[in-house]
Amino acid sequence: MKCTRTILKLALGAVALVPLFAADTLPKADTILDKTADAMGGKAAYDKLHSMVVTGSMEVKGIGIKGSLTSYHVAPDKMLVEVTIQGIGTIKDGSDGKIAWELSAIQGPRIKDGDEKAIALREADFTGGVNWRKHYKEVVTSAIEKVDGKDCYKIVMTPNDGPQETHYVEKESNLPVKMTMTMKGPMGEIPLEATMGDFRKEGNLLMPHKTIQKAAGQEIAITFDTVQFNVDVPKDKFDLPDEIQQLLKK
Amino acid sequence: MCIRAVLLSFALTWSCAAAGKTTLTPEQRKLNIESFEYVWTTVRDKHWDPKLGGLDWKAVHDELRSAIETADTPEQAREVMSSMLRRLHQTHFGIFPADVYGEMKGSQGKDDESSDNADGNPGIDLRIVDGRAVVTAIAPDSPAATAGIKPGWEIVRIGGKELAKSIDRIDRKLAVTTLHELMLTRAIGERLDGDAGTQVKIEFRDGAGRRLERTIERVKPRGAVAHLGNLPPLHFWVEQRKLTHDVGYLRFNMFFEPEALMSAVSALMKDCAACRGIVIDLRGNPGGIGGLAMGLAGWFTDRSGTQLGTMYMRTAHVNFAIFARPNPFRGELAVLVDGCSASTSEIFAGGLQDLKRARIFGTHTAGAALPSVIERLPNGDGFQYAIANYISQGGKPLEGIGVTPDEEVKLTRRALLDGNDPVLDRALAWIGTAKN
Repeated sequence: MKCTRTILKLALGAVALVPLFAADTLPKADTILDKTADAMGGKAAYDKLHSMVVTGSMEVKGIGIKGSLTSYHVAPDKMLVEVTIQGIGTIKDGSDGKIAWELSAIQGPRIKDGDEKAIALREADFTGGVNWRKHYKEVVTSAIEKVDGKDCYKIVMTPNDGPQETHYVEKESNLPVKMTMTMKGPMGEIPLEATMGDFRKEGNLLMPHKTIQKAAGQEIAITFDTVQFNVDVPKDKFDLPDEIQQLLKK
Repeated sequence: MCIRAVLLSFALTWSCAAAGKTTLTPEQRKLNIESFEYVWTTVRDKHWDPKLGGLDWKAVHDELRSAIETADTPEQAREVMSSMLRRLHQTHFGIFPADVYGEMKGSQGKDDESSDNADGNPGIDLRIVDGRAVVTAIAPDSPAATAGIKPGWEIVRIGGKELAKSIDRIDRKLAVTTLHELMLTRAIGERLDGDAGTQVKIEFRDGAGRRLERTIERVKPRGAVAHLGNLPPLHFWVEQRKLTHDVGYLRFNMFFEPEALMSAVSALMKDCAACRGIVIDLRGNPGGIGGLAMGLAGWFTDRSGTQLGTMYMRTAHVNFAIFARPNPFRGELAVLVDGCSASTSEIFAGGLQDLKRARIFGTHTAGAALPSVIERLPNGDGFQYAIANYISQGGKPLEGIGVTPDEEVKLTRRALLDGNDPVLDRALAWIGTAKN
């Protein structure tokens, strides 16, 4: 899920929700999130992993823009996503645990700051999904709402740093099927909605293989094709690109 | 990704129906009502401001609905819909008669059997200067260059058809819009286009006033084929060079192919790091990928986080933020524009003008900063509408207004015939005298 969310941000660019219950009658959010972590594979499964490499594709709905993606994630906190889009080029988004950056064929290099940096560093935490308490200071179950016709717990998560997120966890399966947040960054405050589906087992983890992201009037579909664990990713894969190092020297 | 192509889709297959003043059949009345409802619903659902500035859109509908039901002619029906759109008090919302689009679609003036996806041209760039189609540039090594065609020559006929009447007709119809020069130039320019390998007969008037007829082969356009999503294949080219020992020059035909474009800019920066100034020539550039305005601007400022402007959509406001490159160019920057500079070109030029980072030379731009969509209505008319608003950093909307140059310099046929480029000359003069 974390990997998907990072790719969603990189890729940037109707469900009727009707509260059914008052908050005080709902299960506690931390209980739900712990069940979600278990449903996705659990801490024990993550403890056996030190890296994950995902390949897949993306498509911007309606305008036919397509691309391929590869995500490298290495414990404890290194992450790099490369997206190559026909007619646009390559966009890289990375974090070495301290610095979060982007290198885009369109906009060039930039170092992330503020909320963007906070989100990127959180996403880069290899076990952040199961160790959610490390990153969120408050989680509250606020309602049960339907997503795609299924009852979901609506959980408002307030991170230690960065903007609030709202997650929807399917009541029956405990799987996270939707997330909304407002991305804050130099491009403005942009509402983002992501829906996750096609959950399949990869090793000992259960992962969404299809994600639809809606932001700024665009809809982007992301599909995971392959997932590999404990791959020996070259250490220099996460070295800061020259352009980023030059920006750091300014 | 922020893709902002100018979607002035002249490729629609406009019919020439419904032009007369005859009484309508029940079926035609029905189509007019459907068109009315489509226009009203589209504005309600797609306009960037859901409140439409406080306008009671439902009341507008209810007020005009009976008028569309009783409209007796196509003109009356069109006027009812136009009246509805005028309540918005915004440009780029309008109803266009089908026959005007028939005139504007270049193939109407052709005398050959070229396909709708014609992929060839003789290598002639033209503008409408003082009501005449005038050659402004010849593509290097093109059939037009081989045929000896010169800038400044007037194009009198294409395919045996006189241009003067068409120019006059389109000119009068579009005189009120900033898109005037862009649409007029495209309408006439498209008559030169056809399938690669075919020929086009063109009658010119040279500098001495002599009429010269040339039959010129059409070839694939200059540049490499670029693909982006569902857009048809486009030919992209970029050139960068030094005009003098201390002035660099960058020109490209569209904001596409980011890696090729940025590679050319990077090469220019290396060659021209100590230059006094750089000229970016956006004349005739229709725009393309909106994000490239930010990406290109990043080479010319060291203030990361500044903005070219903001695009307002119904669901979000997107800042066009600039991320400064590690070693940006700090010398003078001149940007050349004309009425065929649109979309991303305007966002780039207008934003840097507002930030006082660039001085703009040429003529007023097209005022088409947004993806303005033209759709065919059930009754055959054309319906144009914008789906977002763009405000440049100085607080001015670009849509329907465009960028006003700091120094207005018009092309003249005489200057072209003499081998001069008065717009570029003025920019070079400014760079030569500007305080660095």
